[in-house]
Amino acid sequence: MLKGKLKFIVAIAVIALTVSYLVYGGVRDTMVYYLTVEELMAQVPAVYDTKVRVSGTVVPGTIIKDTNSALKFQITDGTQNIDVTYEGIIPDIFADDVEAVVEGVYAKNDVFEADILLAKCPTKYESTDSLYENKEASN
Amino acid sequence: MEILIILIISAAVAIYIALPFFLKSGDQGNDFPVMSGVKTTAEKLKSLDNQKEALYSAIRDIDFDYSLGKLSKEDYEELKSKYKLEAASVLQEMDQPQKQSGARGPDYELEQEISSYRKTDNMIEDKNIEEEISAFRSASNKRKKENKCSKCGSEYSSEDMFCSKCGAKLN
Amino acid sequence: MTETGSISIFLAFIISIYVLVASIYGARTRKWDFVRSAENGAIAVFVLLVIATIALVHSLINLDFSLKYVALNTSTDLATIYRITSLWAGQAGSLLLWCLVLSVYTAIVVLQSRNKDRQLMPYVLATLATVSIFFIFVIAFIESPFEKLPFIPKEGRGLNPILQNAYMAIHPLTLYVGYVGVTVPFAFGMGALLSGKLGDEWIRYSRKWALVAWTFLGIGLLLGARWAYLELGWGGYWAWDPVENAAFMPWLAATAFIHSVMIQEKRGMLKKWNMSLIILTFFLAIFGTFITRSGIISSVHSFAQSDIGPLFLGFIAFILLFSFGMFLYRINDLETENSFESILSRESAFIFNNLLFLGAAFAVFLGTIFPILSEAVTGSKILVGSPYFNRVNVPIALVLIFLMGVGPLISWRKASFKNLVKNFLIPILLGILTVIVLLALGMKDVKALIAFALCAFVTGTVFTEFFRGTRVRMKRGENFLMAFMRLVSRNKRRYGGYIVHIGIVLIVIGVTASSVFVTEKQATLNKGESMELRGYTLRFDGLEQYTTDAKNATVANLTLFEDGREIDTITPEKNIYKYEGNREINQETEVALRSTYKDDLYIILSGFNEDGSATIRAMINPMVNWIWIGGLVLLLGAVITIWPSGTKSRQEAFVRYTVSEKDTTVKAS
Repeated sequence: MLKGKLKFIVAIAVIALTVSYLVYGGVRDTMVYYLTVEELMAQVPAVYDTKVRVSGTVVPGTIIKDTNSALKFQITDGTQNIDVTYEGIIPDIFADDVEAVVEGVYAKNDVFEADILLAKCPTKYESTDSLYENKEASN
Repeated sequence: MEILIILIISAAVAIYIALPFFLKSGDQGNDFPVMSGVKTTAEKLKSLDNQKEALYSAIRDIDFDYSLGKLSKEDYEELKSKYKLEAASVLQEMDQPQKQSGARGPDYELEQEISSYRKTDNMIEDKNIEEEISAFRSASNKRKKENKCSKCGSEYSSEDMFCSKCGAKLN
Repeated sequence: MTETGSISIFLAFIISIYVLVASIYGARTRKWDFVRSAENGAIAVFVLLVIATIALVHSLINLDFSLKYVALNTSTDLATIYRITSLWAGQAGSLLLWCLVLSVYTAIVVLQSRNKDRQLMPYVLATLATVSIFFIFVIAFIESPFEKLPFIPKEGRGLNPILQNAYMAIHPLTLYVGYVGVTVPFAFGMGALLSGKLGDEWIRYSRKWALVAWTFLGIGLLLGARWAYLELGWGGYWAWDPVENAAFMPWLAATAFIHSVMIQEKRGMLKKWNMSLIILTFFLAIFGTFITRSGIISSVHSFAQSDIGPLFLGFIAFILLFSFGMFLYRINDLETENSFESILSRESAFIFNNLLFLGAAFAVFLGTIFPILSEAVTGSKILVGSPYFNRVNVPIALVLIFLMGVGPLISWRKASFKNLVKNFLIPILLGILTVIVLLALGMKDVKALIAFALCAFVTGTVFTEFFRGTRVRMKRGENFLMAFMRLVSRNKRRYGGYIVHIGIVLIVIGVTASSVFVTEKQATLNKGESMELRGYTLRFDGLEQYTTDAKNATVANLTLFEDGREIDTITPEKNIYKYEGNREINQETEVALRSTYKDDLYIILSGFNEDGSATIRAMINPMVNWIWIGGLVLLLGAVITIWPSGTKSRQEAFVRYTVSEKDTTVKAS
């Protein structure tokens, strides 16, 4: 009986350790710092060539799409702007003034080379401002 | 208009919720279960019956698993005799309170209920198991009767080494 | 109507409090009429919430823009069906739906078991009422769906176009029924703890209701995956987004629960474990609602955000403290009746299954809250993305699939080595054969090879089970069909469960193939030009534009050739919605999908230029359809498992029979 119990304890410990190891290794190898534009600029030059995720608002008028769907734009936190290049699927909601999240590498030429681009719907649910605009427009 | 609807809804809801206080139905009070640790005979029987059912289902399980080749013959026989032994002792216990309280106590209905439940499911298989166990029981009862202390005549079980009454060494 | 709606919600709040008080008072003082009255109260809450929902739907259909909720979520160009579905497009409406679904469950529980288990039921009802009170409080006082605007706008903001999709109409609903459904098994667990009746009843009810919730959660997740696949246009169906994880975690915990419950039923073991599991599952369900509703973890598709976060956190803390407090109070009554006999037994297979499911749930939980955690600990926000989740969960999933094959054929209590060899020989050979065939076909990915081999192994074990069971019955003189039908109907739980396993195998095959063997290509084509893609050729035949009431659409006409033969025309679209309201998303990419059992051709018009050229992104996703078919099989199996036995008397008999199973007092040697 005792021997049987020991077997169970060993088996359970092995599972627990394996899962912990997987979690630990996964976190260590895949973690990405999530920064604002300001935090990114503050960490230059240490941040060069490490993978980071940055969020900021798309600066109106800076979006340039070339025919091969390579994309250039700038994001800002209100004071500082960074240039971003990206190639890949562009989210439908990506447009001027949208909050964009880019993941990639900030290269030494001070261009952010993104390989992931996400666009977030601005938090619209609490805001009734737009309805006021609508009221004015319709009056 | 809308206020009227609201009032009607509120009144209807209030009446519906209050209804049980005015409609004292037959199930009132008396059969509300007693919240105490003491088990009534009926409860005891019920739990014994549960144990019996559990053992039957265990036996059914190993029968099925054995026929599917999931159990080796040795394992099957070992487990089966173990459960048969348990079932026999549960049945023994179930017989006792019935003898004490007579056939038509409050338990009578319960027994009826149980047997009517039992009739509906797994009848054929259970019948076989039941037969096996009763054969097993009568065999072990016979053995038990032979197991009497040579000094004072009280019964002992086969694994005892000394008589529990007089302390004489048993063989 | 709106007054009626908001008053109904208020009344429902008051009555829920009454239900809580009356049921506990009635149970403690054994005043049966109070309990009866509380039960009627629960049904009244259901009726009131139905009235409130009807009132809101009425306002949505008639576009009553004086209501903030209606103005924010609909617009005059919205089709009636989507006016109705915008009931769950926003915060307040979703929460109303939450309450409604909970009240439906409560009413069913009351009607089904009001005359049984009179010790247990009042406390179950009290638990359900407590949860109701919280959610109804939120919609009555904080996020009211009937909140008025100070003015009446002429036009509402409208529904996000990506939510205007048939799957979006049913996916949140299904998921909600699943989320809320977890409350019921939790309530039975709490009922057992509160009443002290920790025997057979609660686990029986809990198991059944947990299965219902589990099924809805699973199907809801799959519908959500299908929605993302069709609508989001990035070619995948699962991104480990916090909102997806939010539903995945309770599903994982519930999976663990519905497996380990069997051990309590059959062997009277793991009582503490099961109780903790159901509390954990409920916690994860509420936590999931909290993530989706509070927007605390930024997600690309948390559609509703607000400041109800702290309230939710308070409620979660209360639930955890109270339920684990009760658990500790009753811990002595949860003693195990048996101990493990052998590590080579079904019990231990289940134990490992449970640990792995919990491990996966823990890993997903950690990954989901990692940004918050790291910000609290180190001060900087650190994310872990899809690679983390895949790295952790893929190995766990592979071991789980292996156990899924082992579980059915290994015996309860004790399995001998000789029999293991005999039972597993054919499935193992099947697995090895699969590897050999796939290697011969040139497949090199190790993980995929392992996954497919395990799938073959599991399929082998399940079919062995069906085959042997049928053969045993046939030996008793039944013909094949009858033997098979009786085998399943006599033990719906067991064989329904196997069918669910087959569904999971199909899903695993689809997920493996479509995540390992994707072919992707993007090209800008002029009219008449073609692109090649693994045996397929796509010829671009020019752009076309059309206009409907709601949108201006641009269509790329493509002709598909396979090995030189023309087989289909494909038309991906890009739509600009006309409505110039204030919703942020007016553009929508319509994916063109050509789906077969072999692969999906997934084509997106990612851009077009004034010179008539178009940028086409094309993907071949192998075997994605297997995922959806697997979902249907899973649903079939789950329905068989949950399906009650025919007549009432039989059902009673069946129920009693199950009760007894868990009371096994066999002592292990």
